[in-house]
Amino acid sequence: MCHDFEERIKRIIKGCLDEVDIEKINEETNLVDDYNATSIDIVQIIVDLENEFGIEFPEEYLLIEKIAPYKVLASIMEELLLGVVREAKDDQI
Amino acid sequence: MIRYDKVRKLLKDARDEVPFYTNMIPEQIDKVSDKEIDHIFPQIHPTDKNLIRKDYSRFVCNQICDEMVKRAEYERHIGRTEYARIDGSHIYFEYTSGSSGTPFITVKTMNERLVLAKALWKERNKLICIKPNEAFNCNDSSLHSIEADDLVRNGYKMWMVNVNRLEKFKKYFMMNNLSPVGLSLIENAGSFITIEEQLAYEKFFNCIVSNYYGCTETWGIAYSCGNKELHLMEDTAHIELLDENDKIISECGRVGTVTVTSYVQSLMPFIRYKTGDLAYYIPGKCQCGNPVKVIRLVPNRNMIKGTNMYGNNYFRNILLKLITEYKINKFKNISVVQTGLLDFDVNVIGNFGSKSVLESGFVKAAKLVFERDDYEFVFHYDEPVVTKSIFSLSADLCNMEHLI
Repeated sequence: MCHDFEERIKRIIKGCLDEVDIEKINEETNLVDDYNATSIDIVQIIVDLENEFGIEFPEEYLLIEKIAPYKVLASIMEELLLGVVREAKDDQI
Repeated sequence: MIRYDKVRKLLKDARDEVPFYTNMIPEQIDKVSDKEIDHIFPQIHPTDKNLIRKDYSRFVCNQICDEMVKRAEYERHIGRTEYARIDGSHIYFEYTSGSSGTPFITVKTMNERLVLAKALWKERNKLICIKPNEAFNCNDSSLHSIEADDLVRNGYKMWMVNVNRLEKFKKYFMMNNLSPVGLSLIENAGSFITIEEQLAYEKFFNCIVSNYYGCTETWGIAYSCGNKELHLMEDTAHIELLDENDKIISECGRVGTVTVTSYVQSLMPFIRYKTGDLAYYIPGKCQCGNPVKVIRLVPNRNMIKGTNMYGNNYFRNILLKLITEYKINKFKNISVVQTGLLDFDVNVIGNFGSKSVLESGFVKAAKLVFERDDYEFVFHYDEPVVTKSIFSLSADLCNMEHLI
């Protein structure tokens, strides 16, 4: 994963959860367990990620176990972004 | 429009896990065709608050044991919060408002809440770009005294508020010559608001006023568009209007009970759940471009003081007489507020006919409908905001006969 991509995700998380220290977010981080993120916080993170990256979270990904662990969230974001890139390429063809 | 895959999964889970539905839904429901769903679904017995309260344990899935519910009740008792979370399990217990009787506990997982909340934010963001942390819930019952100047100071971009409270804010702002800073959206939630009221508040607060219609049980049912029309939220729920015999109403203008099936909730499914609210479909396509069906709510729950009569039922008939019998129809909307035991304010919006003809026709119709002549009506024209209307209806319906 590229550094800039992860930085953008972390900045969004920080924007939604005040007490988060960006430097401390790592593959082991769980937003619910470590920062007591509520469902409203999680929705805020999703909405911000969608706006930032121009993607839409499919309903099947709207699961706390897919969004709260940072590692899983980042890999989902990568997958969704690849899908966007692939769709754009298909459109060009 | 029904979402067949979602309905199949919902019914399968309900059949397997929720006692009330075990014998009601066919075993192989997940394998039936769309056509069979069209046949089976309308035969599922509608539920309502009373049925659920009476037989509560049969409406929650087997994994929600009595002990969990008792603990949620205890936590609510000591914490005085709206909901309680059972540690570690991400299950939330939310209480219904109890506006029509004793509240009962609804059960949602955090994931279900995520999907429902996301759907709601999608609707809000169609109107304006707002984020959850820019909103302030003025309806939060734990906040007993919200100071309007706090709202000014804190500069929230969005208020979630009911009309009664909003009217208080309006008066406070007027008296103190204040105006909210940075406010972009006021969302009416949990109370009836007319389109005219929304427009009037928009003018006063200089921001968008939207209308969110939902309930604690299932959350979003409909959300207003830029044209103030309530579009059904079909991504997360299937909504029907049912007549007094629980038959599906499909024609426009005919009033029925809003009945909701949440696609999202499985621990405590709400399948063909009658909310108790009345609404009718609006004909034609909404000018906002959204093809999803539009409903207009009827404020049915307000009784005429000193009686046990629902104001809506009576004033609907008065309006019907005015329009169909007396041919008095040169107005856009009429709403009625009861100001005393025998006194009513009648607010007429967009009148372009004779006032005296309208007033005498209204009083004559009222005498006949109420079968009494001691009610006094004071007429107002184009009053900007009327709160606590016991009745409000537009005169532009295509087929008034359906309102009988």
